[in-house]
Amino acid sequence: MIYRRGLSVLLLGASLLSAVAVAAPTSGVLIKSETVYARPSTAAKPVANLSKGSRVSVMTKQGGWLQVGVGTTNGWVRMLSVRTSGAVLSNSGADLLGITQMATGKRQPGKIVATAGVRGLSEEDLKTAHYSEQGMRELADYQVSGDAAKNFAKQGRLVKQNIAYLPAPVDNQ
Amino acid sequence: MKKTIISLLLATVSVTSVYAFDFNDLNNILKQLPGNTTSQTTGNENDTTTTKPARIDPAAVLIGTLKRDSVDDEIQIGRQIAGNLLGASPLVNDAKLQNYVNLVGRWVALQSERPNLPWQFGVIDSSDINAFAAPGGYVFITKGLYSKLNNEAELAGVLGHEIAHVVRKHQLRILQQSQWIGLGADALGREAKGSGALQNLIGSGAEIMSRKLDKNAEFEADRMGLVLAARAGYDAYALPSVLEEIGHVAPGDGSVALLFKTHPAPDVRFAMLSETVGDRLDRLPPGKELASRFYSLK
Repeated sequence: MIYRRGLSVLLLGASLLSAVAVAAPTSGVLIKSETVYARPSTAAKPVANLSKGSRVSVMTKQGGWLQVGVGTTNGWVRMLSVRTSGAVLSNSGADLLGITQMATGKRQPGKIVATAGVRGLSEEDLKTAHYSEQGMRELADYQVSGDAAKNFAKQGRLVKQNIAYLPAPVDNQ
Repeated sequence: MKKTIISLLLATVSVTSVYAFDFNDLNNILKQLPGNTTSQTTGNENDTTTTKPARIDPAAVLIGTLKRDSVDDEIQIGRQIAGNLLGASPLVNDAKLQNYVNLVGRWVALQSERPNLPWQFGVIDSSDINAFAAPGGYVFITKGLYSKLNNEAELAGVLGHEIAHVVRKHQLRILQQSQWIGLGADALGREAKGSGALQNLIGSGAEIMSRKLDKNAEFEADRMGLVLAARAGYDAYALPSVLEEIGHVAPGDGSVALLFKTHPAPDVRFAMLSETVGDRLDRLPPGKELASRFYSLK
């Protein structure tokens, strides 16, 4: 994520004693009112309450939590309550917003993937596509078994969790 | 992200597309339909007269005859769609990458209600930011989207979203309910070629992948993708992180044109997940990100 990149840039800059100004931590906006905790847990001590629309500086992510700074206060807030993307004000016209933000330097556009040798996928490409027998053979060659996947998970020490699917929000548009 | 391959393929096949069609199979089906007028350029007089000529799309009819629980049919349809997509954008020539994505994807799919589908995953060589799914267990992610990811958990979340589309048969439902597989009468009587009627039915073109699913299907796939990745032991919050990442791409950037056309805006999807999750996952043990073994693109 952008803020992670910002952090790594920060560290890199520090290690190189770079004189180049380092970008501030990613800024975020609360999309709902939230409590800021001293640690990434609702059991931790609350250190601040933020109302929807509050701006924070995002320093790092840890699971479902973001470490944020508000003024002189630091703490942890639910990751899903803070939006860091430039689309925060998307209702006002995403394209215009993006252009405006780029023009004012307020947003760092996502890394543009090099296009040399790699092409995009347009609707026209899709419309005129023809079945690739060779492609399907290759795809099949890469297929793995369930056992191989389980072994792979074991190597990564991934632990299965028993979680039910989440319900749709009640106020679903 | 990523709309589903299905979205690509099924679309009304353009008239210019060349598609083979097993006329006999279709004709047998059409014969059972009252009031069908489908004689066309084919040189075959397939005329069932009717007082009220109803325009019946043979392809839709054929799809409509599929047994809802026929996994074989589903896979065959998905295979044709997947093959067409690969015709538009081949797999990245990197066996280690492809193997890695299959291992992650299969592990996530094992947490779903359809663990035994012949799941196949692929990274396609496109700079676009997108991912696709086709019926029967075919899932693709573009190189452009993969390059945006920071760790294995984010890959798992993205694949989980696509796996959810397959599990819920979102694209298949569109195929069955709409007539947009418009092979239509235009194909009647053309030289039959190839095997399976279903494959011929899909024909060429992957335009279905550029079709928009219902936005609630996307929100559902987000909710399920998040949970599937979490069930697999990954950080549950990786998928919303990807949505944030995509949200940083300038909306006017061509690499997200198709994605943004076919999906709700990333910030809206993020907000929906925020509403959905609330405090429900507070007791969930922290999942793994596995950034260290995340495969780096060459």
